[in-house]
Parts: sequence; structure tokens; C-alpha cells
Amino acid sequence: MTGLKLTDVSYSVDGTPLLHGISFAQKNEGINAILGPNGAGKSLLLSLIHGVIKPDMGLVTWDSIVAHKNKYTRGFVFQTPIVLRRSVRANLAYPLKITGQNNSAAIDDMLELSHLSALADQPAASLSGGEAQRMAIARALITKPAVLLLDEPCSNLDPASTKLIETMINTFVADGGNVYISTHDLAQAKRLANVVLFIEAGHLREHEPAESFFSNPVTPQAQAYLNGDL
Amino acid sequence: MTILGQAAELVLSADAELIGIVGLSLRVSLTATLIASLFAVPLGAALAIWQFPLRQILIVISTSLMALPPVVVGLIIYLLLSRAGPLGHYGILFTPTAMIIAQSVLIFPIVLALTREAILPLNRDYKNLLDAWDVNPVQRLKTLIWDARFAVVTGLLAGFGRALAEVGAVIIVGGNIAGFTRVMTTTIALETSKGNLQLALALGIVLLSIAVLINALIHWIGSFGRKYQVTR
Repeated sequence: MTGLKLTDVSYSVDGTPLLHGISFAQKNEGINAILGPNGAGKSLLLSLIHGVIKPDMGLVTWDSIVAHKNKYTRGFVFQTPIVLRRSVRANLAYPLKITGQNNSAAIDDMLELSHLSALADQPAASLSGGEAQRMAIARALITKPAVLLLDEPCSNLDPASTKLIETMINTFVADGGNVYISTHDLAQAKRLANVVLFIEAGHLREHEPAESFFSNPVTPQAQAYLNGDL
Repeated sequence: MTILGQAAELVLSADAELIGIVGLSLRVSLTATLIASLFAVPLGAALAIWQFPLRQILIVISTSLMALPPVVVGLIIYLLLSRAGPLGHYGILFTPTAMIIAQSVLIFPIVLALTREAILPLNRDYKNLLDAWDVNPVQRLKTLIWDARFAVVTGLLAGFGRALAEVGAVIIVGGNIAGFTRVMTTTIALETSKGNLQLALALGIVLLSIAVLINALIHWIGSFGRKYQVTR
């Protein structure tokens, strides 16, 4: 099938199982929110989905290709933006350079989308947290990936920065992109998500359309989470 | 006129002998720094980035080599390049080439260690990002060296300063031949022993000035590099 497929995926660290036999399939469309309490394994699941780490057991495929073999078709943004010691413009140029592309128009487009045109020639290290995260998302988008993976991109950001980032995400999806976002911000998940993947203690408890997850959660874990008890 | 005044006059009048000695010193040390950096920078970066068999042993050896006595390096290279030595047929003993080899060997571990120190923290910062992008090993090496360029250049300047100030090895393999292998440090040693303090002092002034310039450059490059470091 086209899209993402996880088959009985497990992952352990130093003998401690962190994810247990996760299986699901999801078409490449819309925004998928990965929800769950702290320590549930959201970031780990996102890293496995991207292919930056490999499962101990099971299989992760994108369009029937093992995830770690086609990472270049996806963009990944970390919770704390990783800033290259270069200017903002050079940060955006970097993915183009390593993929052998020369597209200065794309850099200008991304500077505009991320509202960073005025800061283009500043050292990226001088950006605020929100600006740095917008730059990281623009950098992930500049090679026009089919899928964007975001690991709690708005944690610790103010509402204005969060709004700008959500606009970037929605613009990407409107252009046909597919997003997986881990978040502990339920209001953000409600605003953005089409589908929810809810994990708790390393188990996938629910994989539902967002509307039915929020209005009628099936599992007691999801109910407790939405009630603020988990 | 005092000795200091005579030395200053030699410097200010750009005395031909003095200029020749300074020129040779700079040529030998710059070439040695370039040659050492060609090998030491990529190897230092590789030691910072990747885990591989013998890595720890290489780190211990390279760190130990930083404490190599220059006269011992000079002696070993002398034995290798002397007529009876394995490389004697090249006939480069008592030439600037032999001095370049000696200085390259001496500063190689310094540049390597400083490069490794510069790239270790950067690799920790970048690793997840470069892994997520599936950046290949050559691109990874180039990226990290480039982004640590200010610290790497600082290491090169430190190596250059060390080479320029070295005396024990170059006097053994260069022979201190007037107009041919006589550099600032070996000339200062020789002229002082002969009582010709004007030239010795003039060269001392030049050597000190270069050392101050190198340290100023290290400071300036360091402050420029800090602009690109995330402090958030």
C-alpha cells in the first residue's frame, strides 16, 4: 500500500522495552497527531517512523520501502531546533547543497514563509526560540519532502510563534504534504489533526479520526488522558 | 647606540640578512603547518565523529605525541634522512625540506588534538540532525570541519606559532647553514653564542611581534566564531 505501515514494531533501550508491538497503516494524507502522556514513547515512535532509528523487532515501511532507506523523502524537525553555525540563509541552503540542488528561489520562498527574510543574513544562533523553530521547519521543507515529521515543535513557544508555525504546517498540507506531529498540546491537536495516534506506556491504544477520538475515546487510557487524569 | 637601538635599526631598515632569515622561517613554518593540517584536520575530525577499532589507542598516541621533545623528533628524522638512513638517498638532510618535515611531525599532534577538541561538541549538537538527513560520511566530515572553522583555524595558528618558535629539531635536521637553512630561532641561538646580540635581538623582536600577532588573530577569530554559537 502507499503510505506508512508499521508491523509489530518493538523497541528497547538497555533491555527495557519502550515500545511494544505497534502495528498500524496510514495513508499519506493530512495531519496525524501522535498524542500521549510524558514518557509514552511519542518522540521514539516519530524517530522510528522517520527511520533515524531501527526497530528491534518488526518493520516500518513508507510506500512499501523500509523507512531508513528513503529518509530523504521526509523532513524531520526536533523539539529543540538544531541550528547550524551559519547564517539563516546558509542554514536553509544546506539541505539543498547535500541533495545536489541549486535553488536560490526556494530559499527566498522559505524565508518569506517563515517570516525570516529580514534576518536572512544574521547568524542563526542569534534567533529567538520561535524564530529558530520556524527556520528549522523551513529548512525541513525546502527540499519539498512528501512528509514532514515534527517532534513537539511548539513546546515552550508563545501563542504568536505557535500560530506562525501552525500556518506553515497548514500551508504545507494545503500543497499536498503529509504531517506527523507529536504534541502534548490537546488544543493544538484539535486545531490541526485529521487523525490521532494515541500511545500510552509504549502501546498504541487508539488510531482514530481526530473527531471521534476527541468526542468518543474508546479506551480507558484515552479517556483518562483527555480527562487530565493520565 | 645601545644594542636595543641597533637591533631596532636592523628591523626598521629591513636589513637584507634579517629579511632573508624571517622569510625562510615563515616559508618553512607555513608549509609545515599546511602539510600537517592536510592530514591532522580530517583525522582529528574523524576521531571526534566516529567510533572505530583502535580509536582510543590513536587518541592516546596522538595526545602523547604532543609532549614529544623536539630534539628527539630532530634526532629521529636525522637518522631517517642521513646518508646511512632509509631515506638517505633523497639527499634532503640539511635542507629546508628536512626542516619542514620535522616541523610537520612536531605540530601534527597539536593540530589533530585541537581539531578533535573543536569538533567533539559540534558533533554532539549536529548528530541527530545529520542522521535525520542521512548525510553521507564525506559530507558529514566537510560540514563539521566547516562549521568548526573558527576553532580549527585557531588550532592551525597555534600549530604555526609552535612551529615558528621551534629550535631543537630544525637545528639538527637543518644544520643552521647561513643563507640556506638558518631560521629565526636557530640564528638567535647561534648569534647569541657568538656575542652578535644586535641581530639576535632584532630577530627576537620580529619573533615576538609575530607571536603577538598570532595571539591577536586567535582572539579575534575566537570572538567572531562565538557569534555563530547557540547560547540559548
